Amino acid sequence: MVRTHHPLYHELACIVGPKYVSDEDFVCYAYSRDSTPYPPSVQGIVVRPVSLEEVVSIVQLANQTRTPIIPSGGRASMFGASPGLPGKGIVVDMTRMNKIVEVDLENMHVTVEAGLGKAELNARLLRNYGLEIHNAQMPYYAVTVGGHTSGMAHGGGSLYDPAHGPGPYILGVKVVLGNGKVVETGNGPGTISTTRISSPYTHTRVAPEVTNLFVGSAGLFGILVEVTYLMFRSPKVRASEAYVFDSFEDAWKTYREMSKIDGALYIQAPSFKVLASPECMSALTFGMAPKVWTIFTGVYALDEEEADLKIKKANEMVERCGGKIGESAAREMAGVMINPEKGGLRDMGATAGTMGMWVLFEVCPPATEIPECFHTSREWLNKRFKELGVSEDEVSRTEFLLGDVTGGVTSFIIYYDSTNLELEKKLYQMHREYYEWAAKRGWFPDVNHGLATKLMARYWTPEFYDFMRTLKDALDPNHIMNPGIYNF
Amino acid sequence: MLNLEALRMDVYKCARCGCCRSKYDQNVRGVCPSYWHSSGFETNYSRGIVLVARGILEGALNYSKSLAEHLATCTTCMNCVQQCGGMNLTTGEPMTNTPRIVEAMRADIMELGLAIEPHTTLASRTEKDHNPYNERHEARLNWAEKLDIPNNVMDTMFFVGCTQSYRRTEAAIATAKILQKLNIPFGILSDEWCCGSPLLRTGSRKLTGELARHNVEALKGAKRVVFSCAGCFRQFKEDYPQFVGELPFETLHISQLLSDLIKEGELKMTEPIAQKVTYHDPCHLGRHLKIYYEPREVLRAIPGIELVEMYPAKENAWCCGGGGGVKVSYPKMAVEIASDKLLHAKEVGATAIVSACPFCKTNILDAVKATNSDLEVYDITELVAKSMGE
Repeated sequence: MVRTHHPLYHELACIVGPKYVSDEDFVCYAYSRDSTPYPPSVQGIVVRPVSLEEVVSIVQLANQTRTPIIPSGGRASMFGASPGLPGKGIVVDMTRMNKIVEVDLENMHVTVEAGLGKAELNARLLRNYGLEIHNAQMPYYAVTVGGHTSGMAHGGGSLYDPAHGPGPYILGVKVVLGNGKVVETGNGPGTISTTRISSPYTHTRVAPEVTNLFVGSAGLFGILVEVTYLMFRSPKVRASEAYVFDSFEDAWKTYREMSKIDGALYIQAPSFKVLASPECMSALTFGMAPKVWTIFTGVYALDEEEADLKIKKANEMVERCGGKIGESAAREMAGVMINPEKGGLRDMGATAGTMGMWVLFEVCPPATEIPECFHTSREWLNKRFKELGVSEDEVSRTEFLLGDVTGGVTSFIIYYDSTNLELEKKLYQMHREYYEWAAKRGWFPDVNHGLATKLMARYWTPEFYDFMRTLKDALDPNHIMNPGIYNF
Repeated sequence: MLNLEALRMDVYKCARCGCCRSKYDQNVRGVCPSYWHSSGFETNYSRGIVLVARGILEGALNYSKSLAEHLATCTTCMNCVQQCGGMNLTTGEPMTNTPRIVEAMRADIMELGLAIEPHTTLASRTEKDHNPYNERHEARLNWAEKLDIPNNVMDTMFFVGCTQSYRRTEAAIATAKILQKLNIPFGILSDEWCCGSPLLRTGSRKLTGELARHNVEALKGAKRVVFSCAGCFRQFKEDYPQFVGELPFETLHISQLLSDLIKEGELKMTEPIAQKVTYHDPCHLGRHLKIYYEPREVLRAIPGIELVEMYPAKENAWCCGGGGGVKVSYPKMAVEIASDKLLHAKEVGATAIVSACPFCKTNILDAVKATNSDLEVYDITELVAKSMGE
């Protein structure tokens, strides 16, 4: 029996070579889901370009034929795969574009292709130069540069170094727009900023800065093909501590106080502090640590003396706020979080599925609303579990929050037995309901994929929607880019 | 019923976190060699394969020739299992064992008559001559002609395997000479058949069972069976019990035996070998059986040898590319993967790669030839025999 190809199969094969295009049903199916229980969305063909020119050709072909494009990176999204156009859409798998384009040690810039894994980029920079780039804690291993930049509202900034956001770290991007044209922004190579301004550190712009238009854009306007990052020296010394508290109030008070001195204690070098619930502590330490509210903190320093001083200052603050240093299991967990050789917080975050299949209930409230968000979310989850007949032994969870003086994240990761399809359906239902519930209170997720974008777009003002529509019409006139994202 | 059905739970437990594609840090340098050297679609590595398996179990997909071709790119190296982001909290084991899923899918494909030609040829050749190399069964013992090895069952038996019997006879000879020099009485089977490893990896389950039953029956009476082929060793230790139940003898790899003898002071190697070598962990010995220490101990005991570690090594080691039927299905890809290994060895200044598996040695040698590399390639037994004055 002769198989019927996707209408664009031969044209796409001419662009990338037959080896790198497939319309086999099983290949398309393998691109149909993300790491959540959301139902599959199976597109019609998958193509793996290796160069800017190939991406441009694919976008031009898609425009000529009005065929939707669904960009794909590490497929680490957490809100369901892009809807696209089932049976027809072109999945553009960017992971073949995985080169480091330029390492500028003088100006501490690195420019990389969008399909490179962030973990690989970081590992190579660390091994070859002792440098790192700005990363989110999760996802870490799975994400590509492009997926991370376009898929998270702050390119990961809000999670990893909340005080600064992405601005200082993502210096520029190169994008193939939906209209097939190529634009370079910010301080990437070839942009007007770097060619005319002597020092990119000045962040002097000769035009409005539009890099962030593409950060968190979820492929709405085009396909990211390159990102330029600011690099920083990997800290020589890492130190950590775990502090325990009798009540959430004491722990939160301490957390807030620590946040206020982040700028002094942790300038530039990333640090972390996580406030974990008693149940979370028990789960993380396999029942070895007492069930108490715990703050894990980690500091990076140039030498032992600096690290000791930072930890000493943190200890003093904790003591003033009514907390104390935790027991060995908790301290050990803090050590794991800060130490990349033991997995690190990144590993923990990247593999939040470490205990099996999981669903993330995570939103980003303003700092002052974190306690309310945390407690009411917890109550909401418990109530819905009860209503839907989900018993405690069917799921386990980690609960924690993190953030800075202005805002943060409350996170509930629910692990479940994914062989129980009835349970999976209930969690899928809860996941959608939770974000609706949270959005009504002004709490939105940080990751911009699938359902999350549709949800958030519903809360845009009509004026903002019009503005976005104008941009969309200008940059992607045929609306071929990622249909269904942000309700476009 | 599909073979895959038995692994339904494993399939559903995959969290699709993607670590099996992109884990990379100071110890791990990429995960799936097939992914990097094939078309690189999601279906060329663990996560996509498991999702396809789910599609088949749920009736959304069917097996096809084309799917068989995709699945044939998996070397079953187990690095995806090693780097799996999911962990069973009760057992501490990774959630998903994709090589097992791949083997079950290949078995389904074989039974449905959809297998690729190299896989069916492998099976028919082995059925006919008891080896996959298209060699005469009568020639199996030619390598041992001048070694005066009894071929009756003794307390210690040396299971040679097809690759050492026909292709890497130097490793078989070295192993035999080591045992003789150590005054360990041992025998080899007069009617040894293929262990079945390449067949089980490529879906021929029924034939594998026949081979297993024959070999175990032939070895009855032995107290221990020594292997210098990692593939045969893994097959006996891990896979034979599912066909024949508990084995009636102990199994051990030559590196384990030698390591024990070194510790007991019964093996002394005196001839220096002045060479900077690196050890390639065969997947079947390393990740499959967790034997990392013993081969290194043996190499360190050889005077003059400087042992350096590649990045990556041990549990994170890069597969040679030859396993899982890839060598026969996609020989070019197998050599390309092995060529990565040469680069890793060069990076650390090694002048030779040492393995403990004749199949790995063959594939690495092919890469040396293909890239005009000046690296030397040895089986660990060759260096030990040399240092013992053989």
